[in-house]
Amino acid sequence: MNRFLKNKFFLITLAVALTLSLSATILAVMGVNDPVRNLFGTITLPVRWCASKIAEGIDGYRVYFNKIDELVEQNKALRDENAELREQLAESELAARQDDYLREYLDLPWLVNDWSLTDATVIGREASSYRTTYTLNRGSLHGIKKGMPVVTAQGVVGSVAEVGLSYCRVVSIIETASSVGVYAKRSGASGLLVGDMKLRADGMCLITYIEADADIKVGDLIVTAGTGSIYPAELTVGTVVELIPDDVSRMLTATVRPAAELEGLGEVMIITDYQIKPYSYDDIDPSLGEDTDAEHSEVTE
Amino acid sequence: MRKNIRHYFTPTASLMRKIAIFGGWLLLLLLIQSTADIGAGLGRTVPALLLTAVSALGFFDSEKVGAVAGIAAGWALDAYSGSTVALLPLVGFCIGYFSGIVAGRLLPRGILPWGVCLGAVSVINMLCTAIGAAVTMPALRPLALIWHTLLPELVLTLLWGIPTGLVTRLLVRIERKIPTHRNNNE
Repeated sequence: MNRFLKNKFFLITLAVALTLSLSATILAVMGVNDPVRNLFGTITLPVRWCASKIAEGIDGYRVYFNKIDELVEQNKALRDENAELREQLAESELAARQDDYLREYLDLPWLVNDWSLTDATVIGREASSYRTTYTLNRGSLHGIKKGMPVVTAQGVVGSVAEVGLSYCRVVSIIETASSVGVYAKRSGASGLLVGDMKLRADGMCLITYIEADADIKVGDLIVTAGTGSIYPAELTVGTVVELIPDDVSRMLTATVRPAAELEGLGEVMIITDYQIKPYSYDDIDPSLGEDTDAEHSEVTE
Repeated sequence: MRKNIRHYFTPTASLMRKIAIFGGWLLLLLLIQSTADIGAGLGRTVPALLLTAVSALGFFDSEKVGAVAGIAAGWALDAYSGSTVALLPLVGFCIGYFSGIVAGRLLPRGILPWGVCLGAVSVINMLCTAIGAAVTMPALRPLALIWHTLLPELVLTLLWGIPTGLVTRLLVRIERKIPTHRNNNE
């Protein structure tokens, strides 16, 4: 022991290591952004971007050679689903027209989500084993703030957990620490979306606190509730793949596969601002009204 | 005092070469560890490539190189991943320094004896992950953490540690074989 205490090199390097560890931890606990880390993150941004692109390319080849059979099957399933969705789209277009007409007829206010979006690219994934976080190439310089939701065209990815000058880190929804209020689009059955250490490895998460007699089934689309959460309402989260009843708590737990493809995530959008506001009748497309009027007159005739 | 400062901080050709070779290798490992999805098949965990390389540098080169590389690698890893508990500079320093101390004294400098250091690095990394997870996610179930994260991480670190150690040893040998200017003049 005395040998180490007399060694100047040991003492100096130990002091440096202790200072780096303690200062970073204290600043993180205080919620202060470490300026040295911030600088490091900003300087290494181009290197991260290049590494991310190389890894993406390598991963593409790996998927091509390892998962070709799976991709062929998936392609067939998607074609079938596409045909089914086209039918559903035609039906929902008709329903939307009727809805437009009735809202105008009964003078009901329209509530819409008004979002401001910023596009971003994933330039890295977190280097620890128990969290799934992604580094994006947008930071405080681009108006990004902690807690902003991140989405893709498919659905919710997660929310911004840390913001640097030109980068930010996103915690995904399958992260064990996250919890989001959600409900089933079809029936309105609600619950709390949480991460699970076991399911995380398969890219899935759980909905807990669903009433035992709630109307929810496998295949139901899950969307965000928007109540007291950082996420706006009606954002697609995923679909139910399994239901597990708990006899003790008389509650249901549902396993959910996120709609956003978290594996191989590339381009995302950050919702920088959102508000729910009544839709003004002035904003309604006049041609839509004419169509519904014409249809209405045809029906009355 | 002036003599000591010169001894430590004069950027000799050998020192610059070490910084370039070992620094480049550590940077490459940092990018592989944080970008490539190498743990996709095993619970999405990440092997501790950097800490393994730090241990190998300390073991095959010297405790001084190991300690400095450990601090730099640990700090870069913490900064890169944005973890709340920034333990890694201290852990990296200890791994690098003590790997160098045991080499040649308690263990002969060979690839098989270095396996002991690899085992120690895997266990230390597992403990760091457990501390980080406990602080970040207090509601976590310990059994789930051990089974789905810590054990896969241990296995991955042991598996990926072997090629990482071999390449690091090779780099140390290459770096030693490059002739210095003084040698050339002689």
